Amino acid sequence: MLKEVKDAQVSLTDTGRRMQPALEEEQLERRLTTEMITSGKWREVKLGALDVEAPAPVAFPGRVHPLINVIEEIKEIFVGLGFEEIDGPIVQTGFWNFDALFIPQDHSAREMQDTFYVSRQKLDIPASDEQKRKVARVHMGGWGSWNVEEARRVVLRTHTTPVTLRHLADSKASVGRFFSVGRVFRNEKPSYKHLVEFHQVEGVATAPRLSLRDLMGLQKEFYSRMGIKKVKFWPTFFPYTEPSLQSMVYNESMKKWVELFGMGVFRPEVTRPLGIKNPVLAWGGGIERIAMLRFGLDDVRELYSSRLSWLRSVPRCPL
Amino acid sequence: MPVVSLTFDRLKKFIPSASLDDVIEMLPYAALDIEGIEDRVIRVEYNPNRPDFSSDYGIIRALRGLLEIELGTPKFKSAGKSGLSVLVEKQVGPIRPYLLALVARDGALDNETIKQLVAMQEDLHNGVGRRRRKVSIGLHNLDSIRFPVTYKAVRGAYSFVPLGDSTSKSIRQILDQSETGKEYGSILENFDKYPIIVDSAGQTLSLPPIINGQATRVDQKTRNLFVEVTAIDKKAAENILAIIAITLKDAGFKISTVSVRSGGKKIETPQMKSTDIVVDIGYINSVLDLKLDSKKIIKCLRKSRLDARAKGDKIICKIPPYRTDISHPIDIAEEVAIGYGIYNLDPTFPVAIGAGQKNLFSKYFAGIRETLSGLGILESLSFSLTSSEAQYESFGRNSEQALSVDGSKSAEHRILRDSLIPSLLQSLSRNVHEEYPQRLFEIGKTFHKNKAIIERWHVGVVIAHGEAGYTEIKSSMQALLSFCFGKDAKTAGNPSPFFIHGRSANIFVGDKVVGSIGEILPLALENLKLRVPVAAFEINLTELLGLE
Repeated sequence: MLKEVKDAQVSLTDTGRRMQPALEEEQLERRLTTEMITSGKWREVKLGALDVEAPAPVAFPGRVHPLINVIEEIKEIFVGLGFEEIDGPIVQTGFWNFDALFIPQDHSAREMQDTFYVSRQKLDIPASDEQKRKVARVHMGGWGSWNVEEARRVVLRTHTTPVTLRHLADSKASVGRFFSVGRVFRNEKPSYKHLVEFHQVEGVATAPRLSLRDLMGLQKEFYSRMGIKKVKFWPTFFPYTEPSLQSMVYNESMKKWVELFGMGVFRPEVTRPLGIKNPVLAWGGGIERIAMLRFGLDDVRELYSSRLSWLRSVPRCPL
Repeated sequence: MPVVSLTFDRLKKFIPSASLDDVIEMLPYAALDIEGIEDRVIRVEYNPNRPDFSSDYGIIRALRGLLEIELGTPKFKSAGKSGLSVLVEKQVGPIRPYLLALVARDGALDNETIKQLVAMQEDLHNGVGRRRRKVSIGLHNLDSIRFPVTYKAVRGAYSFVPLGDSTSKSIRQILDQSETGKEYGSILENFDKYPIIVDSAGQTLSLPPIINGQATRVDQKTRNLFVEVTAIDKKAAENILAIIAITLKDAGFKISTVSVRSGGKKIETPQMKSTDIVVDIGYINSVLDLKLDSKKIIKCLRKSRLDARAKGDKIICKIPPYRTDISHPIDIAEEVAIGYGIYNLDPTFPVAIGAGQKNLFSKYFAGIRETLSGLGILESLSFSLTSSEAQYESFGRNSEQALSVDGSKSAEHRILRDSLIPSLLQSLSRNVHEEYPQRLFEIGKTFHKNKAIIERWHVGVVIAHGEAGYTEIKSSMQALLSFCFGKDAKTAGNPSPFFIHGRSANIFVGDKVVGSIGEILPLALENLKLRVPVAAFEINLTELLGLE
C-alpha cells in the first residue's frame, strides 16, 4: 500500500520573533474577569491579543416568517391608503361564498373538482331573511333556479370576498374602505405553482361616484408603494364584477410582464339584493405570488416547508 | 380556462389588412389571454362568459371590430325556411325535453374548419352545456338524413351503430362499455327510457347527450349540415344554437331554419332574436368617469360588434342572441370601455375620506411575534388542511370528531386541524438534519366541531434539542404571557393526548384554561422520526383575548 508523506517546515516570521520575548517575559491573561474588574486588579494584568479575524460561530435569531413580513407590508400599505382591516370565518356557506356573488348554483367553480366542501355538514345561512329572499330572487331571474340546500353547503372559502361582501352588507356603510387578508382554499393537486391553501388580500372601496378609473388609480398607487412602477390593465371576466380588469406588472428581474391582482366593480346583481347603494370597487389576489417574486422562489411550496435552512437564510431587509 | 388556436394562416385569410403584431397586441384588450405562440399558432384563453369565442371565428369577429375593419353587429341573413321538420315526442319530456335545430348548406369543411368546429362543440359541451348535462350538440350530414326526424324515448335494448363503430350496439351496451357512455351515462341513469333522434328511414342520428350515430357522420366531403341541440334548459339551448348559427355563417354556410313540432306547437329554429337594452348615457359615463357623447358611445359599441342608436339621453343597444354575456346596462358600460380601449383610460386616485387601521388581531399577533422571536423562536407556516395521519394517528388520537373535506386531490390535505402542535412537529421532522436547538412557533386557525363549526386562533410553540424539557417550555410560555399580555400564567397537571403522562398541564390565566403545555410523547417523536426530546405549548388566543 502506498502512503503519501508530507514534509513541512515551520519558522517564526519577523512579527513572531518580535513578540516572542514579550510572551516569555510577562504573564498574559486570556480573559478579563469580574474579579479583575471589581478588585481593580485589571490595572496590573496584561490582556493578550486575540485573533480578531478568526471565524465566529453562526447565530440564528428568532424571526417572523418571510411571508408574514410581506403580508404585514401589504397591510401597512392598505392602512396608509385609508383602508380598515376586517376579518371573517374561513368556513363559509355556499350562500356567502357563491350565491351572494351571483355565481350560478351549477357553475363549475362550485363543483367538488375545484372547491372543498366539509363532509356531512350543512349550516344555517348566516343572513337575514330579506337578504336570503332577495339573493334567491336575483338567481331565479338571472339563472332560472336557486336551491336553498345548495346555499347551505359548507365551503372552505375559495376567496376572501364572502368576508368583505358580508361586511358591506351588514354594516350598511355607504362610504368606506375595507381590506381583508386571509387563507383561501382550492381543491388543486399541489405543485410548484399551486397550493391547496394560500393567502389572499382583498380591498373594497365604496362611495358615491367611484369609477373604473378610480379602481385603476387605487391599484396603481398600491403597486407603486410595493415598489412596482410599471403597470397595465387588461379587461377580463369575474362572475361578480363588471367591468372587470386584470393587472399586469413588469418584473424587472425576470424582464417580463406578470399577472397580479384581479379587480372590478361589483355587479348590481350582487349589491342590490344586499342593499348596497353605492358603487363598490374591489381588487385582490394571492400574496404567495408576490412573495415568490420577492424572494426569488420558483416553487411556491417553499413558503410552507418550514425548512430552517431557508428561513434562516432570507434577509429581513435586503439592501 | 378554455383555449382556442388561432393559426397565422387563418388570421391572414380572415383579417388580411392587419399585421400579426397588431393582432397580438390587441388580443389582451379583447379580454383574451395569450397562452403561447408556437409553430405559427397563437393559443388564446377566453373567459367562460364568452362562449361565442369558442372558435376562431368568434375571436376574429371581435378583432375585426377592435381593429376597426368592420363595425357593428355582424350581418346575419337567414336563407329562410328549409322546409324540413323535427317532431318532439312527449316521452322525452322528463328526460331531456328540448330539441332545437338548424340546417347549414353549401359550406366547405377543410381540416382546420373541422378542427375549429369540433373544439367549439367540446367547449360548449363543457361550459354552457355543463358537461353535456344541460345542453349537448349533434352535427350531422344533412344529405344522409331522410326527413322528417323524430326525437323520442326508447328502451335500453334499442340498438344502432354508434359513431366510429361498425356494428350495432344496444343503448345499454353503449352506456356500459363505450368511453363516452361511461363518462356521460350518469346523466341518463335515473330514467328507464333513453332519448334518441331517428329519421323516417329508421336511421339513428343520435343518442343525446352520449353519442351520435354512424349513419349521419360528418367528414371533409360533407357540404350540408343538420345541427341539433338537445337540452334540459331551453334558454341555454337557444343561446348555443345561436352561437353555432353565427359561427357556421362565418364559416361560409347558408343557414336556414328547421320546423320543430312539440306538444301541438310549431316553431322555426334558430330564432336569432335580438334584445334591446336601454342605458342612460350618464350611467355609462359615471361608471367609466368619462364625458362621452352619444356618437362616441355608439362608435365604441360598434367596435365591440354591437349596433346601437341614441334616443335623447339614452342609448338603445341591440344584443344579438349569441352575446350571452350581456344582460344588464353595466355590461353595456363594459362593452363601451373595451371599444374605447382600456389603454386609453387614465387611472385617477380617489382621495381617502378617513384613516385606515389594522384590526385587533393584527395588533395582538404583532406583539406575539415580537415576543416569541425575541425569545429566539422562528415562525413557521403550515397548512390548516392536513392529513388524519399527521393530526391524529401519529399520537394515537381518536379521529372521530375530525372535520374532513370531500374529494380532496391530495392525501395530505383531507382534515381541518384542531391543534397546531402536530403541524409544528411535522415542521421539526422536516428539519432533522439541521442544527439544534430548534425553536418554532406558529399562529393559525384551528377548527372544532360543535353544533356549528367553531374557528379559533391558536399560537403554538415547540422547542427541540437534547436538553429540551418542561422547565424551558414553561419559562417561554410565561415570558409570552407576561411580556406580551401582562398576565401571570399558572399550570396545573392535566393529561393530554400529545404529552407524556405526568409532564402535561393546563395553562390557566386567572381561572380560565387558555391552553396546554408539556413534553411530547416519545411515540409521536418516533413516528415523526425525531431523535431529540420536544416540549411544546399551545394557547387558544380567541379565548385568551376574548375576541370573536
